[in-house]
Amino acid sequence: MRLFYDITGRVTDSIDAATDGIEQAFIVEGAVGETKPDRELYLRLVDPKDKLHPHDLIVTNPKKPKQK
Amino acid sequence: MSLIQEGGTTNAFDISPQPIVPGAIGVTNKVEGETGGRLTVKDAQLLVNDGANDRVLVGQRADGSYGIDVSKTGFDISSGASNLVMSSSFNMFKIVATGTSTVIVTAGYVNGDSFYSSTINFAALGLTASPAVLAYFTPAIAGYSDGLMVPHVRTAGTSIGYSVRYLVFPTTLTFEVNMGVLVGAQGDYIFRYYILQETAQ
Repeated sequence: MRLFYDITGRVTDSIDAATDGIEQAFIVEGAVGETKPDRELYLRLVDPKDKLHPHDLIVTNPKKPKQK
Repeated sequence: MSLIQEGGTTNAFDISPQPIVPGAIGVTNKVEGETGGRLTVKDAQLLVNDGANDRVLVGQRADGSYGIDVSKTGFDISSGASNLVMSSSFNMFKIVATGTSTVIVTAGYVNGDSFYSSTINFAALGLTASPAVLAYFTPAIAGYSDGLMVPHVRTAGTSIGYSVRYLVFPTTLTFEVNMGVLVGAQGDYIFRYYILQETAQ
């Protein structure tokens, strides 16, 4: 699973694919940066009984967008 | 492990687990005359028999192809595709990827304004046709905590309150929220989507 965040660090998009190769083929245009959840967090995010949603997450110290 | 040669006599013998090579004599876990379910390994094929019919096949089929077949109760896997409850040769959708995305509707919108998610780009997959997409969303409206299917149109009286759709192409997927006459519907529209692809054979 890859988590994509905006300038504030808020997770706005996520992707979880059938294989690592497929997962790496995805680009979320407009995202400032991305991160991967650790295994414990990943298991919570894919658990249908767990209310935790990727968009509930905030990334600390998000990357700043590149200056043009 | 006690195994005998398939179709052989009662020469049960103990063997140690070892690789099954093509052309090897089949082995099963039942002695001749013993009833009940059994497992048979022969050549490049693994068969599970429920005591009456071969119900599960993993490996090489009679026609030489490879896959996994499971038959209905009371039917043999060789009794035709209509009697299979599943087969890897069936053309079915596979979830290639699942994900989430957000559309942020800002306050001050007017009827006709559209808001979009990030563009989800999967050009690297090399698809030549738009994939099937299954998606639902939670709107930024108090009282909604469950998903609504995409596309979706919410009415407000006889007018459109807002509408939601996805735009999918062979290389990209984007979600759109088009605002109508509904007021106070600003906020985060959170989507969950599944990208599906046919996987025959």
